[in-house]
Amino acid sequence: MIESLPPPPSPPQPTPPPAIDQSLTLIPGLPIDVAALIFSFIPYSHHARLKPTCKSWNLFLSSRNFISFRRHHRLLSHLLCIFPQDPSLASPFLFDPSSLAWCPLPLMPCNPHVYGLCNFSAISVGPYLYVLGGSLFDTRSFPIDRPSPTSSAFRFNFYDFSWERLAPMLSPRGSFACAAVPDSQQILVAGGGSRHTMFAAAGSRIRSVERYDIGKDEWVAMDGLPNHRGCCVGFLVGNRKGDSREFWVMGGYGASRTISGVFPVDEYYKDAVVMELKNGFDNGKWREAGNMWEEGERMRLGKIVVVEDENQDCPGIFMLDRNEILRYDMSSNCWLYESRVPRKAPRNSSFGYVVLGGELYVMTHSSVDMAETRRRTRHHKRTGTLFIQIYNPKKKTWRTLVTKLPFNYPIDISTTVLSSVCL
Amino acid sequence: MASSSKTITVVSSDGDEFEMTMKAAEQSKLITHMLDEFGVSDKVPLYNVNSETMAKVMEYCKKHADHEAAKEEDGGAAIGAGGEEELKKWDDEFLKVENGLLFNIILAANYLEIKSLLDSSCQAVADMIKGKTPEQIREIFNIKNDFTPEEEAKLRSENEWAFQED
Repeated sequence: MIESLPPPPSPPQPTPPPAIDQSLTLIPGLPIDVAALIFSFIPYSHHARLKPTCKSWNLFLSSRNFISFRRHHRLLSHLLCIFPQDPSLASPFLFDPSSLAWCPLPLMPCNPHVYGLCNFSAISVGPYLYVLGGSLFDTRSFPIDRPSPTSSAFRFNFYDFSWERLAPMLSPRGSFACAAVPDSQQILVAGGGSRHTMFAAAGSRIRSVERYDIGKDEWVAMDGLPNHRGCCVGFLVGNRKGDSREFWVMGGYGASRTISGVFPVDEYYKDAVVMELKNGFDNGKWREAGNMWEEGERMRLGKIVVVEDENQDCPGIFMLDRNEILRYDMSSNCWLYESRVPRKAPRNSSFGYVVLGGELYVMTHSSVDMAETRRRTRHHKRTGTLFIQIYNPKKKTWRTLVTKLPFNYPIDISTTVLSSVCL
Repeated sequence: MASSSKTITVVSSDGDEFEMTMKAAEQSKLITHMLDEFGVSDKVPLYNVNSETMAKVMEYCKKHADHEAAKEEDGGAAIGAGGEEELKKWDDEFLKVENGLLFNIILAANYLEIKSLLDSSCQAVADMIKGKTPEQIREIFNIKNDFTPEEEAKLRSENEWAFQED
């Protein structure tokens, strides 16, 4: 707690190491700790417009002290981070759904030899957003038009709004399983491959598993998966207070076969593999969790997202399968019907799917050609609209949001990388 | 309410005495601790809270104590799903007071450690700030602008957030 000024005859409060001048008054008539609480109830997207009010507001709203205060009281804004294209070529954007507000992020550092980065993982840990791996085209490679996986790792620092380059992964990979372990400051990655959004099939798959130690900026190899998996999903199960947790890697595709010797078709995995993490991360071995559906049954190949729940050992795992939401039931190892998306995706398009603030965001992008006729010139503007249907798994209700995209170029929302961050 | 429930007496800084039931008093962590330490027989002096504010805080504690009691009865059937929303509406109306009194309520809730009242009243002030221009905010809260016009202009230009509801 920050010491209040002027000190009233109240019970003595412990003084924390002050990061800001204690004689600062934020709101006349109120002590600074109460003012901090008031500011914490204002969404993150509004903070920047409040900074010009006066010097003490600018200082306080920019301080790390304020960010820690909000994290400590769990008064954080849940924001969507969208990567419309390769982030070194086109700005990623932050979106605040509660205020329908957008903010561009600076471009990721550019390597002049590579372009077309996609299928990377974007995962947030605290006020940092990690951008790991992906598939891209490298002008130095031969042949030039074959995509390759990358091992690059970057993170975006929301304290000073800048990118940092991190140690690269041991194995280059895109479309991989990724899970964060915030309390031990680790990020686990497993499997993956070189598939690029330009090509619907092909690409390599790998088995390797590694973890990133955030404090040491170093990658450490872990026991590899039992089989090669690309495009799989990863999550953690287990009570962090307990000794053992599990790292699950679910779904994905393995080998490729061809139909009539021409059309490549993926062999999808019907199961998950699980690594038990007892006493750290480096002694675990993989076990197979069994098929989630049998041969002949309907395949469940939709996108999977994970809803973290601090109060439960197992996160909520939800698949978007065409227009249905399915929930993974761990005890029976199968997918159960949860809900139906109220409005279907338009023909020839798929949904974007991401978790934000414990809710499932199902998104369609439509781009509308607007002919603006003016006296002198005719403008044709392409404005994109995002139609978002939001499902709350606890209340089992749907709501919708509509927002205009802040950029004019078309995107494929189903392959655009989406991530959530709490600020 | 019922004379069978225990009551305690609190004294405001103006010297006025207020009676509250134990259940209402339990809304305040500070009062609860003081009662644990010193027992219920003595009157509890609250030097920081004047009578006008005390009356409002009493009203809040009573309303929330009654709501909790109703929830415990019938296992919550009496309240139902709409009950929480109704309480929230009551809270919103309750906090529609002029700024001076609102600030005093915040200070009292902070001192008395009534978390729900502190959160609601701080949220009310946050809602006052959200969406206003710096000029409007300075006027409402009597804040002096200590930026030069150039400094202020630079800060405004650094804000990249675009709001669609504007």
